Amino acid sequence: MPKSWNATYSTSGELSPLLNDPELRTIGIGTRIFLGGAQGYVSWNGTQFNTSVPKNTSGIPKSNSATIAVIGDLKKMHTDFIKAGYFEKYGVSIFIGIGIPIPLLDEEMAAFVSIQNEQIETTVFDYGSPEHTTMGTTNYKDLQSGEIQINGKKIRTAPLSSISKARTIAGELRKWISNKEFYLTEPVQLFPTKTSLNKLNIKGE
Amino acid sequence: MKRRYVLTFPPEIVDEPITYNLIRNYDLKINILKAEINPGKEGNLLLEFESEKANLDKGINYLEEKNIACLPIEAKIRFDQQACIHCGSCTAVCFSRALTMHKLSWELIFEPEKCVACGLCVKACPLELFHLDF
Repeated sequence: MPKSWNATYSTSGELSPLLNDPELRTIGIGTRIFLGGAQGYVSWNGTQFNTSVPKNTSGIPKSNSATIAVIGDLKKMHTDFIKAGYFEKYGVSIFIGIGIPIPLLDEEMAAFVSIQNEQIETTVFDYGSPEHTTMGTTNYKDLQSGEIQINGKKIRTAPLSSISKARTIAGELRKWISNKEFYLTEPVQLFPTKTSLNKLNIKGE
Repeated sequence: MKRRYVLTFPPEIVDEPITYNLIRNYDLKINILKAEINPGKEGNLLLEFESEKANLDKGINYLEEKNIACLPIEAKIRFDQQACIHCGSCTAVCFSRALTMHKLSWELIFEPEKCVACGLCVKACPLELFHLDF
């Protein structure tokens, strides 16, 4: 809504797999995952994958960073975890449930997966302006409280990805693993490090 | 008690002071939340009534005699709750707070009695689960 009437946010914060393995030590090409209610795989790094984003003191990137490309068998998926969506003035999209098991290999991984919402900081952009102007920073504890403060103004917040579904997926994946229906894999290859995005510079008219 | 109703006026009655009569004759406290009245065409009016139940019943009887459909607001909104994935997109635009997220379960709470039929959720829901008949 115009004039900073509301702010929306994505990911389930402290439950988001990529934020629980910010160094991408266990998530890489070939990692077996929960995908839309079936088993699938991480196939590559995703669109706008960027590992050069500055990290905060908890080791979490301060803005959009790692993304993944995934592959799976649509016929084995369940409509509880895959839905077509349409965003007004944006276009067709998809809601797909993804769960990634993260093995606790050592103390560092244990520390990473214990991340709390208040340690996950992110940048607030104004998507109403053509340049997507940076308005300030916030964290997921504040975002999930329903209200953030930007430049002294209180702004209502709303999620765009389902936190209740994320919990269902985490529980489901846990069940699969303990029932020995799902086996953890080591990545075939780790994601590239120090990648960045090139800006599209528009030259002249 | 407070209740919200949508009144649907047939074209031939649009020029009668119905709301005035409801206030004057049945002692109803009325708040107009949304109105669509076009002379010569069907009109819709979203009202919040505050009154004793007996007076409200009499007022509704009067409306029925006048051939004005009077439906509680929840009858005018259709929401396919079963298909909802609780993403929360609709809560971003619902300024009457009829749509909110439960703080513990993160499931969507829909309280039709708070709805003002603005219709913003109809476009905000990516699964197109809201339909507003107004």
